[in-house]
Amino acid sequence: MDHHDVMKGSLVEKYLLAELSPTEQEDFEAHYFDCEECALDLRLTDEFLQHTRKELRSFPDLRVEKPGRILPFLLRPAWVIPALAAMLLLIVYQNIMVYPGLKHEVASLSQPEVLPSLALVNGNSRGEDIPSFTVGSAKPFLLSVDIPSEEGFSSYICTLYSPSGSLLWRGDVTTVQAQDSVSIRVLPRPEMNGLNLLLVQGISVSGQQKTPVDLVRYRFKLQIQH
Amino acid sequence: MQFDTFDATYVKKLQEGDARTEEHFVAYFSELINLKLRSRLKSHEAIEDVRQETFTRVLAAVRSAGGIRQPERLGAYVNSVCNNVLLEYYRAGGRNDAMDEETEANATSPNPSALNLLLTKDSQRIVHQILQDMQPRDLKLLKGVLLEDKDKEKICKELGVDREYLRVLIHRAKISFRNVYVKRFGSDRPY
Repeated sequence: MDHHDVMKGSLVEKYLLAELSPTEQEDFEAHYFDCEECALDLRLTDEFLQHTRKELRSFPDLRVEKPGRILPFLLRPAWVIPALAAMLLLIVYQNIMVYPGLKHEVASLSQPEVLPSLALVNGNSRGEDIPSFTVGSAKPFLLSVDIPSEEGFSSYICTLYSPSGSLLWRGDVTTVQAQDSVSIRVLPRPEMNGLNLLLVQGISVSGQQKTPVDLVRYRFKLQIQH
Repeated sequence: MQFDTFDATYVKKLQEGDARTEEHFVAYFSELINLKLRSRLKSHEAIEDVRQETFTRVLAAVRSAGGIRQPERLGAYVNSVCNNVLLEYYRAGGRNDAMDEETEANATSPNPSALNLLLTKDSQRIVHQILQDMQPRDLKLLKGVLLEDKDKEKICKELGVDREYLRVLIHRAKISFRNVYVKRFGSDRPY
């Protein structure tokens, strides 16, 4: 018996529920005296069960619906006929309305498309440099971001915050990608209406620790047209 | 109590009579021996006898001229000595009925320290919360098996679940218990 057998066979639970044969019990004991992980798991499970026994005494008697009783009730014609009719309506609605729309959306995603783009370059943390951009509510746009490549970073992180400061998106950028402008496809959301922030951080590798360092903060104003 | 891997250094400290190592050794294996013996012996006194005799023999072997052959398998050695002592206890006419539930609950820690009592109270509160979040069916299942000692096959069938469900239920609840405990109190406990 090895650790894998114990985990796979739920032997800790079986042992404490007295579900092992005498031979299996002895084998498992020989194992847990020798395996620190299983010994800890066994002690933890035992402690949990001891407390459960004590606590269950204070729980009121519980009424549980037996599975067999539910089914005949639902099989009465008064329930079955309206349920089947509703399901039929749902199937018709999905086939006529939902699926064709989805097909169209999938097809449009697989086609090349010209997207409006906003270039974020050279940092624009000062108020006067904030670019403004107007987009349609369901139309994606591109953020073309200039990442200041500096020595000592193994990768970069881009984080997009909404005007309220909530996190909208976060993504990693490799040093190779950072050599050119990085394009980020963004689908506008209502909460993006206003002054958004894109924070670019570099991940410096010093020893074992990876510390993000703020490199540039791009602010841009988004107006979403409905 | 933090767990250390058993190795030659650990056994050497036991040989030299290092008090902290000896304390750890007794505490760690006492719990395992209690778990092993409570399904085989009726009384707390019987368990105590076998446990103490096991420790006496193991420590004597560790401190003998030859020591023990595989220090990293100290746990396996303790188990085999415990098996021998138990066998001798049976032969000497010791009773071999399993403990009743009340004795079993007190077997793990007959004289708990104030700190242990506090930790036990905290654990109990966490378990209470976990049980409160459970479905009535799951509670009924646990109650039937753990408190009312009902036939597992029968109660699982009654509640429309299979036997595996019971083990999975306990496993998941135990994981929640560990996660909440570690989150709330850090990893001071041995899990």
